[in-house]
Amino acid sequence: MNLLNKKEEKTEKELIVAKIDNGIVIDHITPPGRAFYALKALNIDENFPHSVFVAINLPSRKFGRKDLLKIRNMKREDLNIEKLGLLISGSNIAYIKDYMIIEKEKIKTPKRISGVIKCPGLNCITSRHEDVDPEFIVLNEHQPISLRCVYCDAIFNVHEHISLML
Amino acid sequence: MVDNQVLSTSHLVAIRYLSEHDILRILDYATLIKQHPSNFHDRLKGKILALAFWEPSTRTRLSFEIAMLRLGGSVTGFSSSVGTSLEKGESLSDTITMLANYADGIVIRHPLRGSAKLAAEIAQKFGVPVISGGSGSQEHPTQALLDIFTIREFFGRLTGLNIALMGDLRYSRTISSLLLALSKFGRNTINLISHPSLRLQEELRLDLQETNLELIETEDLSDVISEFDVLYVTRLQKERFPDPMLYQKVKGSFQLHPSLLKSAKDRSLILHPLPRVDEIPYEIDRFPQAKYFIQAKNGVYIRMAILDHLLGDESVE
Repeated sequence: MNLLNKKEEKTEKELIVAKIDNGIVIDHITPPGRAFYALKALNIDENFPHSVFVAINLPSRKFGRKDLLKIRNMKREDLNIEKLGLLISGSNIAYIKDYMIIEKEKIKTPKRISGVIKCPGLNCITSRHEDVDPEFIVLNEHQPISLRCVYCDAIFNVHEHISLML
Repeated sequence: MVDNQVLSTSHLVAIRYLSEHDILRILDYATLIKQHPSNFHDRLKGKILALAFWEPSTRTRLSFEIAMLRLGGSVTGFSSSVGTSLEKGESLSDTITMLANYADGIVIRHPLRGSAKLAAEIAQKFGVPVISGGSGSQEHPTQALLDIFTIREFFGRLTGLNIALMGDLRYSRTISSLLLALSKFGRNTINLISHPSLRLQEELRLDLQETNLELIETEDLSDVISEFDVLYVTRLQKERFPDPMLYQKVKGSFQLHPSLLKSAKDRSLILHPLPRVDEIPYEIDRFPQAKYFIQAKNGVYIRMAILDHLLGDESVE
């Protein structure tokens, strides 16, 4: 059994070791499956022009299982770190240039957030055509993260409202 | 001399943004106005208040209007979308921007939550104060201020009271604001009497968790009839019930019957934000505890105090 696990781990490691020349690597995405949320937050869909490597459910000594993303040609300025902080806080981002890590960053949960997700409150003024950006207070630091709308006071779980991400 | 420039905020959009100090200053100032109303007759002379009411209102709109007139100011505005560009779909943002260019202060009532906060943010750019006259089911701060003004006037304090709230506790903005206002003061016992489908909003319950209010839930007024110092009744709204049959079935349980009131303390208050439908029958008006019309009258003094604080220029001798 142990031998089998080791074999599986090795095979999976072999699958992900390919380095990227330029771009970002987001590692330690937990719990597994959250990489899909990150792709949504990064607006990566079928129209994205660069290579994206998605690894789900990798073995991890520290977390048991984790996800990992490698995205070619994405830069720091292309990211909305606060938005990622709502979904995959605790993950690490490495910025790659010419195959070398030039900077590392841990994704933190923001305390307050504006303009990245719509309010699910049906009677919230921000849900109408008005001159306002939805704004929220983040209620807890760890996943799953809840937000409170500063306009209508509605409290909701981010992961249950991914479709409202802007 | 009374300092009228003491609030920590330049708008009044929700009780949650007021401090205990802010609230007490408004109550004290309203007390002074009630004692000597003629001293304040020209406090806002030359000022214009815009009333922007997207929803129907009798007391809130008229008492703001009367308060402004009694302070020597003038009033303009609308009380429905009829005859305005709202009928053409004009947004709140544009309407408030326009009014902030015209008037010295704005009172807004709007069916959506967060409307007063957004209006204040827009009007802030023009240095014009915004006062909420009700924002959806969220808050009705001036109603709460006149409610606690009436309670303090009668009992001389805002702590150590047994307060029963009956009716629609979930969608009533007056209940939200009243509880948030009471939570700024000392310990009070709050009996919440409602149908299970109309209990407090979860968001509000969270806000009240760390406060001194002791919340007790019941479905039966007779459980607390001999204990309450204040009974605050709100109207049950038929449209809030998922099933009209359920409304017909339960509405009697949240009506105040004269026979039941015989067990109430002599020195107690019955309040209602009004309008009432049939939750308080006319016979109750003859009971000495019935103070809802005095409560409504106090709305003028409270709103005079608020207008003077937010629109006035200087301290009053």
